Amino acid sequence: MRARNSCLLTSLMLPLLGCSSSSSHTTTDAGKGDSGGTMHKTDSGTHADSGHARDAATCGNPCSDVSGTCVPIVAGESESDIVTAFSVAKAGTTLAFGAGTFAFTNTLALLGVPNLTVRGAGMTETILDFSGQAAGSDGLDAQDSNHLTLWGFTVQNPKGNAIKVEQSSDVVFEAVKAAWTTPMGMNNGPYGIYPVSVQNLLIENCAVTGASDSGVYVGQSQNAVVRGNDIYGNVAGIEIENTWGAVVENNQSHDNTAGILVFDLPNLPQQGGHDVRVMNNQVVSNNTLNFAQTGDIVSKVPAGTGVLVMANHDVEVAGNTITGSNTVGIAVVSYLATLIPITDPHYYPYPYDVSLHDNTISGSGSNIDSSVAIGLLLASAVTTFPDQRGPDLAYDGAIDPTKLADAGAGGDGGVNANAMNICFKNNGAASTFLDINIQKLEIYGEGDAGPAPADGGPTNLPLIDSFNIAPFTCALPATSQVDGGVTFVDASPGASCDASHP
Amino acid sequence: MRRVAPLIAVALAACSSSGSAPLAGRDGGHDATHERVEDAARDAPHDAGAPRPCTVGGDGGYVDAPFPKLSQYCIASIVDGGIALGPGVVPYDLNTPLFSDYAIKVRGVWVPPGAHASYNDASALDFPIGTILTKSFGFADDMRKSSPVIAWVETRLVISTASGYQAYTYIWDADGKDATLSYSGEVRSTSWINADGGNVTMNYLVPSFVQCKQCHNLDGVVTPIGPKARQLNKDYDYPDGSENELAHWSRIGILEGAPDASVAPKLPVWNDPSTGTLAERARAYLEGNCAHCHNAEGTAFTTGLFLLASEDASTTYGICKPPVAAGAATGGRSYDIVPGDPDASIMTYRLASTVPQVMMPQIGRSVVDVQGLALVTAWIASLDGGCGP
Repeated sequence: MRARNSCLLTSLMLPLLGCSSSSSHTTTDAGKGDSGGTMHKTDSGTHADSGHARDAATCGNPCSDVSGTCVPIVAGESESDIVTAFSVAKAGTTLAFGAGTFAFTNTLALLGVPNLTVRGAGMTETILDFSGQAAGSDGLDAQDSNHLTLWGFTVQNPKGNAIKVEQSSDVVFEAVKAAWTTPMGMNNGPYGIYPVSVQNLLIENCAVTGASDSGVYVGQSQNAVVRGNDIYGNVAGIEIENTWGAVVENNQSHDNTAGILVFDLPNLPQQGGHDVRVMNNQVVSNNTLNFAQTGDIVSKVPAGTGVLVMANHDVEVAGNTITGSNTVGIAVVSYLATLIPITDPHYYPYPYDVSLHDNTISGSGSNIDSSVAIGLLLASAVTTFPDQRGPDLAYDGAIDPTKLADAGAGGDGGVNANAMNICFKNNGAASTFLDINIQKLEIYGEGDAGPAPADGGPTNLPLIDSFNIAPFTCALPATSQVDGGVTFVDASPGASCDASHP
Repeated sequence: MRRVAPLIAVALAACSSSGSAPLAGRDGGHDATHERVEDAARDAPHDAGAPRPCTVGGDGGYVDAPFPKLSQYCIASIVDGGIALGPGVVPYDLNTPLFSDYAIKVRGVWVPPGAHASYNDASALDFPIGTILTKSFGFADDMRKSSPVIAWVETRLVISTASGYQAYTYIWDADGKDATLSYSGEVRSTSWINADGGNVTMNYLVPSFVQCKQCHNLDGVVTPIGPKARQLNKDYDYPDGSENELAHWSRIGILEGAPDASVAPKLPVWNDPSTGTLAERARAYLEGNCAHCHNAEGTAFTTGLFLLASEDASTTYGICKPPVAAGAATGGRSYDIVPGDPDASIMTYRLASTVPQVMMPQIGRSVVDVQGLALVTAWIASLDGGCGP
């Protein structure tokens, strides 16, 4: 390293040291793998000599019990210094915020450096506040950041997504929160916790509220675990989209427009969502008015939807408690239900091999949201439904035309209604069921299983086919376990911000 | 195209000797008359006898770590209000550059003596280790003036090193004598008078180190954006006369393998109708302004929206493509491009916005490119079709 770099380094790092600590951490060259050149080394001597007095009101040096390279960031540090620290962080560094609120005007970003940890003193203690954001869109954005751990802070009021991690592997979100403080704000950012194109993922003990699209959105990813989170006041609570291998378990998803979505959408690099497990979640009162913008796919979801599975295969939804969903408890639909024309020849719009069993469903369908197409369809027919309310369980009944041909049915009469293997079992003896048979809608053509040219929407409502669940009462083998491939490791036990901590 | 009076008449470059002249140009022809006034000072007199206190590349250490000060590179300095490139630094511009808040940009490339870039048709030229690409950004005080006062804000460098390209920016010191490496970037309130005489105040973004990489990212690797064959296949007014840039680079030995310019690919000039049809120029504009992220290897690849000019006009290009993760940025519109209906197209909504979470590009502008938006709007309006319900 050249002398000039040491000088620059000192000037870069000093402002970040808000506390003196003999336990600031030593590193040698943290190795290759980042693209930031070779000048950026933290240096224990530099740290220890900085001599800033610690603010007694904070919880001390945020690095005090971090092993390895650590950059402490305490309340009062400038945005410029924080961004610089993020920019020059080498592989293996922990960027440790102390307690307090840190205001940002631009996205805080990481790119191309592996093995980073960004941590705070806890989701209520450390607030990264983007209320004054003037540039960039997302709050915290990490790209090509393999082996990334985000832990113990809140990202608040960014203009765009709160925390986006893309094109990375082995990513952990532990006890972080994304929040917009304007309830149901149409101009709130779309996603709270937003990993996209991530391989191996854990989202655990986090919270999201206020997202104008999805609180937790796992997009085009592989091997994801979403566990133990509290997600509320968003349009969609948790959305797994175009993802291969995911488990959503033991979450609280409540007071969103929809609780849990498992979607596959066309025109994306990774399609064919499959092997998704939705297990043992509490999905409660997801009846918030849909405040997503028109055009956004979740704007098509009726308020009062508990769990919605669209165009995925090998999905298991089991052991969930789904309560007070004003439109529908659990629905399995094809992309046809969006009424959006399909232009992607590689896209498969039909769900298949979906197993929904042993869920506890209550209080569904008492106030169907007719402001979106699929809700209007249900609402227009509700007087014919058992109990004259929306169903606990629903299936749009869309069948791949090639499977129709295989059945030799050639029309409604002889069709194997369950050619797609959509299986409901043990979801409560009293649960109501609806087969929408969406392909009978005029927009798709009577008896025509493929989407016909759109002609302005469904005009022959209602055309509800059946309330008989018997053809769909079946069981499928359990789906494969999904382990996420990563676990949260507390590298600094006792580091949480509490008064007893020196 | 019509030339305007040189912005800088006399060069007194501290770092320049023969072959170096201060340059200043308004990038991309965004003045009211749509005339390109770029490089207005290119035929400024050479500095003939100034001392030469610096050597481009300095001690060469920049290939290991960036210099703290721009002057250490001897690549660009401010002389009499204009940017003077260092000796042997070859100025260039592009057919259809990125819009950057009407900034004046001065570009240059320096290739170490004896080395050369390698040509290819499709992607950025492959520059040898030690190469420095430089681009300076400044704002004219009054765009109605033929010789405005230019406030230089930053000079960016892309450096070819043994471990790949690195991208840095240097913010000019208040006295304009040097510029300082910045990792954090800066949101800088900047004011000027536009071509209509209106006062413009904007939050110009000097990108952070990571934001530099976000735009220059190609499949995880920092990559130059501008110097592609199709962008460089154009004439440039060098001090010793006009010459095609590819031909010039080949002739002076900094580029090897380039075919004759007549057979090299060429991107239209977005605002020069003599260079392409409406569709071709709109596609050139979208490539220059969007495709660095919106390509199959770029930062925006997960959107599935790819805007290289070479893409088919299909869903992937935005035609009747529903949004994926735009949230409120759809503006209530259902498709990226609705043929024949720009007012129903998300693309025009986002190009017309200056709201951070809505506007596209996300990084690199804070005001609307009115002329660029008009071009894209006219192109979408010219398409036949529609997208159904």
